[in-house]
Amino acid sequence: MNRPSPFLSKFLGIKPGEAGLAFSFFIYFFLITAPFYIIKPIRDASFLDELGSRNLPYAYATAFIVGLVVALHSKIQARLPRSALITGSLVFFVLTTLAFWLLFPLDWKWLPLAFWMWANIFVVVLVTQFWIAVNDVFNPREAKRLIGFFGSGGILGGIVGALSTGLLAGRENAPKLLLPAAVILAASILPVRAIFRRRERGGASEQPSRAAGTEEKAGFKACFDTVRRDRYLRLLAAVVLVTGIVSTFADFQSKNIIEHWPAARMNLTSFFGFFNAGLLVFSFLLQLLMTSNIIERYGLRLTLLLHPALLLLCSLGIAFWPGIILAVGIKGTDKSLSYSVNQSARELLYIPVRPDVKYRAKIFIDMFLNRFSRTFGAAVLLVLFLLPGGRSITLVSLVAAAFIGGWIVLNQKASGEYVNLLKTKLESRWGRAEKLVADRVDVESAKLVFDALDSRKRSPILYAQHLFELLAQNKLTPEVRTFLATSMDEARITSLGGLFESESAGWVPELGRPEEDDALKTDVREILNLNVYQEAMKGYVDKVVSDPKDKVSRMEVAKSLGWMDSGSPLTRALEDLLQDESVEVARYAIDSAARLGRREDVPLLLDRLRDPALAEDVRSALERYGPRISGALADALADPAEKLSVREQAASILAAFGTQEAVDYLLGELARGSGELTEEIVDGLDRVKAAKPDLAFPADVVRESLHREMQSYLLAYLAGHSAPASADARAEGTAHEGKLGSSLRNIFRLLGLLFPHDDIQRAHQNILSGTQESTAYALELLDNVLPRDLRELLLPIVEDMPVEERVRRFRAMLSMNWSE
Amino acid sequence: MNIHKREQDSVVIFDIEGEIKRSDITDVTLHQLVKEQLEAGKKHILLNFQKVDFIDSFGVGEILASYISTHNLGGRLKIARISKKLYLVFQITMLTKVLEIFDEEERALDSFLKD
Repeated sequence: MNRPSPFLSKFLGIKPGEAGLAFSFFIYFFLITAPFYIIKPIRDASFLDELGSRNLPYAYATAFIVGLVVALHSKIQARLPRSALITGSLVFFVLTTLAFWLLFPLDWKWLPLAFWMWANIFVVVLVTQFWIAVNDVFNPREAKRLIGFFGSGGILGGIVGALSTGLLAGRENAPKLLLPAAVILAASILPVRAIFRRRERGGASEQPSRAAGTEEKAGFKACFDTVRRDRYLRLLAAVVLVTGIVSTFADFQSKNIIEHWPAARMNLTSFFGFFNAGLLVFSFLLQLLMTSNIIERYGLRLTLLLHPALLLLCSLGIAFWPGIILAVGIKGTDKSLSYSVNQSARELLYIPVRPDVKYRAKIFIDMFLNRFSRTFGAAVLLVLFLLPGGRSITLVSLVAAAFIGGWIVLNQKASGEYVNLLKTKLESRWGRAEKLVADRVDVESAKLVFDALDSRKRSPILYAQHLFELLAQNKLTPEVRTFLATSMDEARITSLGGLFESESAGWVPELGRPEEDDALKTDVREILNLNVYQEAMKGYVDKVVSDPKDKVSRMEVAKSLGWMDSGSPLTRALEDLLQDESVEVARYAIDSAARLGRREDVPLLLDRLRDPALAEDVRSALERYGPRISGALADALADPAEKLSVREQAASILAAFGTQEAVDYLLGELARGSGELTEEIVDGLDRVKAAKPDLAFPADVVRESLHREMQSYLLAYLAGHSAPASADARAEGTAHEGKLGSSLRNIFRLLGLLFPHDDIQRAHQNILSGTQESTAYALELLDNVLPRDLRELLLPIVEDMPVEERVRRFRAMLSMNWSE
Repeated sequence: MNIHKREQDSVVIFDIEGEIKRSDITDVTLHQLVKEQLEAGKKHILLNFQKVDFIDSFGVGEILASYISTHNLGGRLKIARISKKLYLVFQITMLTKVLEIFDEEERALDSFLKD
């Protein structure tokens, strides 16, 4: 695989295999903006010379005509393949440029107005088609990375065009420059063909896309309806509308002051040429070196604030201190940020929109609304001029400031909705299985049925006990009863009456109506707790408990004890039975202990957690005790001398409780930095967060653990990539990958405690197992949800990059101060 | 109970022999074996029940615990070649609402690919 030079990768963000396309787009953009920046100074100068700034609102108002052009364009674009559309548009504008080159010497008074209108159509159509091509070819992460680079091609083209105009334009001969402009524009057809040839080779169709195909019947109205029906697109449209109005005001503020500045009046075309060139140099440097960095560093929300915030300062400045510096400043700020940071950020806002919807939306918003906003701005200006003192630059500037305020609000809403839209792109691939199992299966009843079957082989009493338990829990359903009654190869068994030494025949008791069942349950409990029965059974229980040979009888006794009152003297036998050497006896004792819920049994239960054969039974029993034993579990968790499996189970049981107290215990242990328990504790916290998102997870504790886990990941990664190859490399590699996977899982689970849990888990799941596109959306979501410090730590871990670069970045990250 | 591990098509297959009962386990349980594989990065686990005679509540707990551990990591745990008797019990206890159970190992392996 070809690798780009480190310069291309680091400063321009170009990854392997992308250089050809990126440079094609760079040149394409260069060759359409260079002619525009020859055309633009001619447009401004000829208008001011012939018609003056007082007529500027009429020029702005002609933007409405663009709407008609956009309507025509949308009909044509639905019928043509993308490359034919773009190439055809380029040919059209080459020819019309040549036409104006021939017409200007005729000195028609209103030609500057027609030229103004044509120039607006020129830039709208060609620049929008460029961005449509960008959206077609690149996914969100690629676009964000490369947008600075090939976008700067446009700015460089503008610099060359504007500077040439500044140097070459004379007061009288400026329109002659339209000829070289036409030639440069014609050359842009070459990179366009190259881009679409590459796309074809890559398998993309040159035929009208499916998106275009669905728009065959969709014209301008369909594009308008697309925007009207979608809340997010309406927001984007509103942003563009207000941006255009503010831009119109800024243009008027600037030209109004420049028109009266003596140094400019001598050769307005040349002045505007140099002005635009200077403006674009600044924009070029901003776009090339900083735009992507600004967006990546500060996020979309803050980036979108930059442009309106600076314009607000300039407008308020002009309102009270109008002068050439602020006139140049406001126009410079507007244009430099429009073409660089703001344009790039706005294009990113489109990326989560579905391709067919995006296409229609951009037609309406970028090509029509963008220009209509100038008309609207012009209308506001004309209305303002009707007011007394309406032409005053102070009033115009204050009205502009008010619009900018609205723009800021809309930008913030749009960036919020952008994040919501990203979330809809991410599928939740799996949820916590504890909930899934609990929702679908009554686990304890299922276990009871299995034990009932097992107990048939052991003793009729034990079997009857299980049947009674099923009955008591209302789980002796017809299906279970039928199943249990099916002949297997059992002898006849006694019914529940066997408990009282009376016999009757039958596989499963034929019980009657529900009230009879309830009566039986009550009867049995009452009998078991009668003093007479207790006295009668005491001797029997003592004898059974002390007989190591009669396991089955001990099992029967252990099970029976669970139905007695917790204060019954017979339940004292539970202490011995919980410590019974037979796991089958102990298991029934554990179940009975859970039923009785006696505090004094908890230490014995914790003791039996050590036995792998009983761990699940004890865990289930302790869960049934509930949060009141959280303290005892926390003690076990915190005891470094305790067996690891016991501490893990304690963490898991606390998580099952899902209380604030349990969370505090778990976080406390996590803060102590017990590495071997980290996975279990973090898993438990994740489980609690998923079920009870409203509980408090103190950020300082979680962040500290998060930093620790990230450092652990970096170290593990570096260790795995620096160790010499060994004979058992494959096994070591698998173990290494497993460790990294586990660490990454912990990182995302900890992030899920600090930020919206569902969003973080979806991002993680899609990074692990999604498509390239969903991975890109996941990274984009993290980019927007996480604060900058965590973003800078996490993204190098999860983003795709060459191993050498990752190693270099990890080493740099490990050397920084993590406590800041 | 004996458990043998093998791998096929990136699926870890545990061939279980005997009864999955708490009285029959050694030092390492089925759940622990499954967790070891998950920690090593394996995501697909198949339990071959061809030679499983019976399970008790402990066995149910082991299977469900293994299922939960696997699922929480985005993996899949399935069962193949279960006896008719055992399948019937799984059905009436609703375990089939959670566990995917296949007659043949090949079909189970194919299902992992489809996932």
